[in-house]
Amino acid sequence: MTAHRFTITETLKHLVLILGAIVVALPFYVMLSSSLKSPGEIERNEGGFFGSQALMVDEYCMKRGEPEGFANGNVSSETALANLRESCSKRPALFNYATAFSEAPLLRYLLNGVIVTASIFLLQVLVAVPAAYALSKLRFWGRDMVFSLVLICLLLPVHAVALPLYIVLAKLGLTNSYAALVIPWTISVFGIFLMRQFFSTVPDDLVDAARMDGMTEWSIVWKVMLPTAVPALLAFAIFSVVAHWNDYFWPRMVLTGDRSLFTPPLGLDEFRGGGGDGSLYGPMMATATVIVAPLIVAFLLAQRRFVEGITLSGMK
Amino acid sequence: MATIELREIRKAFPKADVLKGVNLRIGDGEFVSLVGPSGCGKSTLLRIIAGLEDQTSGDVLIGGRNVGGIRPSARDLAMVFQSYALYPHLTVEENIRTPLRLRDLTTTERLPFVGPLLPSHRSKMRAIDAAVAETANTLKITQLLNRRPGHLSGGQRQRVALGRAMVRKPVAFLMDEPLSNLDAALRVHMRSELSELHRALGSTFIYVTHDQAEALTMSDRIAVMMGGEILQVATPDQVYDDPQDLRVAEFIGSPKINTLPATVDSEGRITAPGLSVRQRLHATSQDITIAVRSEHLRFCKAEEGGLSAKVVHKENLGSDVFVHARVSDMGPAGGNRVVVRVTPETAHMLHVGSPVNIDLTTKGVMAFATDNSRLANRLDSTPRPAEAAVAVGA
Repeated sequence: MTAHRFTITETLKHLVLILGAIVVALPFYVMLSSSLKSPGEIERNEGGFFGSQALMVDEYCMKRGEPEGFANGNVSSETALANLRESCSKRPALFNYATAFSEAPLLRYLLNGVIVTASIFLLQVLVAVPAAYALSKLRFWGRDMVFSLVLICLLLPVHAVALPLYIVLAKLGLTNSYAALVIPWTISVFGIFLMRQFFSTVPDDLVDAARMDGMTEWSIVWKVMLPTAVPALLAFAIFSVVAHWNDYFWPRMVLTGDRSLFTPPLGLDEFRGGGGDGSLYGPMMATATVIVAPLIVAFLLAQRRFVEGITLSGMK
Repeated sequence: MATIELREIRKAFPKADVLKGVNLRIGDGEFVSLVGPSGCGKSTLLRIIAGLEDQTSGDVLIGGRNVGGIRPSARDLAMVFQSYALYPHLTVEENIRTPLRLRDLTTTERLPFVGPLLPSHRSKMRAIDAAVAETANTLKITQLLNRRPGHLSGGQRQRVALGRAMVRKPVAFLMDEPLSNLDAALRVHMRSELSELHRALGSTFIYVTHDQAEALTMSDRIAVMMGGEILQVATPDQVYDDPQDLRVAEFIGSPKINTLPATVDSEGRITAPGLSVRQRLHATSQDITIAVRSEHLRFCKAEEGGLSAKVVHKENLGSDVFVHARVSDMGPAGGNRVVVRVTPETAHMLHVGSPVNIDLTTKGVMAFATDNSRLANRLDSTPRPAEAAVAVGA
């Protein structure tokens, strides 16, 4: 029996999987590690995962605390400078995360991210669930054609229609607003497709029973179909939230000025060394860590939900 | 309580006509089964009565009222589905309560938070709760009320589905193969329970099934459907003993009725290979098919004549044994398989491969024309018991 445990194919399979896991996990490792280390350690690539956490001087802090007069070089200013240097000394990890929050309004960006992704997801559900119900459970002329159109739309990359979309929004004067971030994504063909496939597995009898009980089609959609489709809805939620939380391309296009509308990925840009003083990788990676943390937590919670699942065994 | 009348119901799909003009009158409180092979249109007919599907033409009258264009829920019917179709996210109690909530509460009363504050809400909910409790009590599912359908066995789900149908006291129950998903023992048990329920409620039941045993055991009348038409509507006894169509005779009864080719002469006398058929028909000079149930055949001695055959299989049911035999005569009946029902004692003497001779008992045969229609006997020709006894004795 033990012979089955160490066959060549099994070993190879695991090797491939381990390699894949490393490829996927390595960037996360680098991100997390860099968010804890000092700029010097990052550049010299030393200090292991945590870095030495030796005190370092916060250049931002120095700039703020350094009045013009210090540049003259007299003794009193020398001491003042030393005092300032001391008060601006920090542990690298603290420096990175504190800078992430202080130098860019990261909390504001996170809030924007929540507002935008939640609005997008809710509106997508509001459109996709009734559409999917109609495509799977109602009989009407042209249904198959409409479904084919949905499938064709699945094949179109968003970048192909980005420019026309942008022009429409610009003509409507909607750029630089939440509307510009949300409206283009409210109709998710992927959501329609996913929910339609799931609804097809729900027995027609259930819909008929609801009709016999006196439910309107509208309440069948929300009170019968939606509760049975929670696993599919969760799967869709993960796709939708991850895609729009992490989206850099579209917000970059439609947000040109107003920083208060920035979503978290745009916040990363703040540390991309625009001011000529080089990129500050530590705070940048700290920002990245803060941005992905909610997703990872949400996924872990949803994963448990997936496993438990709401089974459809009640119907068969 | 209501009569249900179907007038010339037709249903055409682009590729096929599913129903070809069905007429049926179902009396108040009657238990009528629609039985037939799958694809015969029986479920479609039930869905048309329920209003879940529209007929191409024809009328459905419930209690004398034409219900064309009336929503399913407004027809005051209840339906029990093969898959039970319980709401998986609601408890048993909520499942049973749903139809009453939707019927008795107004839209505002059903609103969350606001609804319960309305003065009318409490008295109505009390009435609904009482009705749910009463139904649960009748079906003995009170202890299941807080569970979800996913945690119930098939039989329990079946009861909950019945409860959801019963609770609104509909004018008629429509049942679409409600027992097909149960195991054999439970199915037999539920048959008698359904019959008792029908007697207790006194409601009209329309029961769709492909299982002729269910139809025979429970119904007041059976409508045998085939190819989108009703072939015969009659009591279980009549459908079994006096089928008006060869397809009805073959569909009803287990094992399947024996059929043999025969001819009728100009005087109405039947000539069947090997069998001594005494009755005479009104029909003359044509090829016919004679049909005879397994219990109306017997084994006889070789010198008495009869149909010579070889035993090919014995099916032991405990109380009876079905002996399958292949006709070994070289005539037109040669090679046909005939099933004879005998007592276990008789069957003991027979083995697979034994040569046997088969003849009729005192009961006559049923004759069918080539278009499957039944051919009537001449009244004077039916063998009387005394005469038949003599014939057997000789």
